[in-house]
Amino acid sequence: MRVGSLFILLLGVISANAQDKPLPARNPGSQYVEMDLLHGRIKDDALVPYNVRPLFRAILPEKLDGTLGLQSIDSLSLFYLEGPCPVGLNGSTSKTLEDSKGNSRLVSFTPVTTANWYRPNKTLFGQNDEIMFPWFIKPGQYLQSNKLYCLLVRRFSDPKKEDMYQQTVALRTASKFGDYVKLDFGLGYAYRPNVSTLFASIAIHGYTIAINDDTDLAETFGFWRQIRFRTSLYVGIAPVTLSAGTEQDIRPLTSVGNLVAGIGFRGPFYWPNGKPASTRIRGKFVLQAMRLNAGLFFFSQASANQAIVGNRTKITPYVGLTYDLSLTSLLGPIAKLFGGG
Amino acid sequence: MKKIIACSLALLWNAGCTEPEKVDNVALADKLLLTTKPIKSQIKADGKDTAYLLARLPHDAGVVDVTFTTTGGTFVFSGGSEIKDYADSSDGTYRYATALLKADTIPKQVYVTAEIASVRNRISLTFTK
Repeated sequence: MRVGSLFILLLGVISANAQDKPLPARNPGSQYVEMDLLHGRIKDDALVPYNVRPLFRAILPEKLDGTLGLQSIDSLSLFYLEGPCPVGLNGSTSKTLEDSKGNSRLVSFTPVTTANWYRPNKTLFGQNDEIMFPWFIKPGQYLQSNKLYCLLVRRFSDPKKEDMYQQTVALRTASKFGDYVKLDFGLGYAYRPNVSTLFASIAIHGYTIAINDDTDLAETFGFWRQIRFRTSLYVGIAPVTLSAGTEQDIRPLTSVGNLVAGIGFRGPFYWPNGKPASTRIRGKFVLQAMRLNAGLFFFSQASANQAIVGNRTKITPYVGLTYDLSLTSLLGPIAKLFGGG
Repeated sequence: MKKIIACSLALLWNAGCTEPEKVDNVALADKLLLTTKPIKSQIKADGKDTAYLLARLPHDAGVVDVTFTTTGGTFVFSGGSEIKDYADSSDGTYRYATALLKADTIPKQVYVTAEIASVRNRISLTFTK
């Protein structure tokens, strides 16, 4: 079987695998996380988006505790822990728990962030008993993928802080295989004497961490985390050669074109600039989806030695500028062929 | 550190991995070399003396037919002025085809040509008294 056919097969299998393991839907299309404070859970048991700053929104039932409407949130604390939210979490960073055999053990929680709200004006909570916690997660903070977090909501119904209500909400983040692979398309240029070739390419990029497309790369994540968010290894095909300034023509190496492989760098022109997120919307959509690639172009070319009839496989370095593609939407039909989705 | 990265990129960019392809850059001898073995430029015009012709071509050319032609004398195994031989012997770098040319009885200068694909090479031999 030809290399190109194998590559197409690989695309299909990856996409099928990406869809074979359905996970609960994320909060659709946004960074909102809706909390059900009455039952202590995320609405519809949805996953919480990772590597972004979610907006927490609490939908409150009328008269949550049977007395007053919620008037103040004293604190909102987020902990990272290894298991489900323990009962009786009180804001300290450790707690003694008993397991099923009655053995006690001290469990430590890693505090992520804490915020305080006090809303003296009752009407601020709105007519729909809805509270927004804007940017509870601070700039530079994020929830990591495949982790469990516990959100502790504490409030006092009286100014003396004697009558306290508290609720814990479990937050779960999860990634799927498709979050580690991304598809892009764009142009590549191989400049060498007698090669000078412009071509279109489509490639699969693999990351060492799960990538959430909603992540804003202009947030401050720290240098090495930025590098991991942005850097990928890729293989792909170059089905179309747009121009070939060569004496010996560039010819398709496989039935679907030539091959490319290398290192990609996402959002090379999109970096933290200290400006508010609202001013970066254009940059996020235009510049973040851009990728700078440096790699090798595998192509076929007739030998300059006329005694050698036929083409030879050759390799030359190239640089490329590409844009992200949605793997799922593009490969959905192929995935179905392989039983996915 | 920046200098190392810059130099590495420059090296990769300039050096490349494959030699550029330009027909003019390839010497004729690298395409098709025609010699006598042992090397000599003349043989006796006695109707019996022979010259062993060796054509050398790149290994990547594959096992192809090499066509030898001559303007004088005859090839021993064809009895005429043309003979073909498979380049089926190889040393890993080159492939070789051979022919044996027998001189006429008339002294003169003849040209022997070897040809594959679109490449040909020619040498001259002198039949002497």
